[in-house]
Amino acid sequence: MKVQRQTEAGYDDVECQTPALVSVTAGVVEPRYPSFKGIMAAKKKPVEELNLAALGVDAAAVGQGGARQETIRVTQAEERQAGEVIEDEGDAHDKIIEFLGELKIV
Amino acid sequence: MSIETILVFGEGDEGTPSGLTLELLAAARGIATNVEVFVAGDGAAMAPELGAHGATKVHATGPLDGKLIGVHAAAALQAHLAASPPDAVFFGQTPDGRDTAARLAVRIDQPVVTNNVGASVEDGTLVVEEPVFGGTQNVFTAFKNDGPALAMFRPKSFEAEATGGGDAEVLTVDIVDPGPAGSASVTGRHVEERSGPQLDDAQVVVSGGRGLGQPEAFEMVDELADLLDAASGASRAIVDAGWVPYSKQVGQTGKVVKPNVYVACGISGATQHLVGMKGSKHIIAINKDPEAPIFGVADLGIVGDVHKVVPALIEALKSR
Repeated sequence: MKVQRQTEAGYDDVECQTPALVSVTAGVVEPRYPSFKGIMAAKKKPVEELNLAALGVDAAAVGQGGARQETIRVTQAEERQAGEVIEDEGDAHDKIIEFLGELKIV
Repeated sequence: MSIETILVFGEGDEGTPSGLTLELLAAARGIATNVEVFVAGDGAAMAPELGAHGATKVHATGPLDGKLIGVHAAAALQAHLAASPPDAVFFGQTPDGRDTAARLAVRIDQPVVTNNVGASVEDGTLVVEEPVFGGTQNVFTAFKNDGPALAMFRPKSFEAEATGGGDAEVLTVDIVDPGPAGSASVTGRHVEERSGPQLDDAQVVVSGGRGLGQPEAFEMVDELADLLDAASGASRAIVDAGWVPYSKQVGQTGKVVKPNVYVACGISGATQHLVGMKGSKHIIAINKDPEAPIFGVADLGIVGDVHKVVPALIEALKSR
């Protein structure tokens, strides 16, 4: 199997044997939307429920008890204050240049 | 128990450590007495700069040409941690950092907490801070495990700062057979062409979004960026649409930027985008929808047509 894998600088071509587990990034493909017929057919598909025993997972290893990490608090993040909002009357660019000028960008 | 040693997963390019690696060194230095670096690659070339940023030792595998980094880094790290366990391993939120941390967490059966922006020590335990709900709240998580705490951090969460330390001691880490996953190989590398100021460290960033209407309109974002000696960026919507490469994406699943000035052109300000840029010192937003969330974080908001305001701004800047 050949994949293109995102890197900091661009992407790499990667090859590997199958079976393989592959994860993808958002936006990698356009999802194919189901037809009405497909949606109706999906309703008739069996749903198999699996419990921990069926998965062979030790109950002590999952959930809060198995997390081995604990949320100790949740705080409100500091909010950024909105500034001035103006309607463009054809001279908004001057306002932007003035703003950039104050910051010595222009 | 206190935090003695933190191992930083070091990344870099051609012997230069990445900015994020140096940020992690600063964060680690703030809470641990000893900071070391693990490099899946050539560590010797990076050792002087890593040392200058407070690392005492660099544990390196040597070049891993043609190998998938995460697979081999995780296997080598597992062996290294067994021999000399640190209190925590810090990873950057990067493609290889994510890959390595996930694989290592499974290998050593230890919890990993991702997406953090802060680290501290409370009652002798490592506590990390993670923003949730689009950065409106922060969750603090304490590690309760026996063994190294694995934590990942977002870029630009800490200020890198040199300490003036000498070269870090370079130690070789054995490459371990990683099992079947080792069959994955890198057969080609593609580096996207980048010119001008880089998005990560530009003082000014000019970004475009869906409000531009069509791919060609991004040219004016680039032109404005050139005039302001800025880097150009984009919202996820137009990256997903294929107008501009992913390397320009600013946001939760793209780059986090903190420039002096951020100019958002035709960007509505979805949470996904705000998370990546609201740490900017100053924000200018141009959008035709007065209700756009971007105005909630902008210092100067222009309700107007980006196709009129931006060309007028470009003309005005050119005539100066």
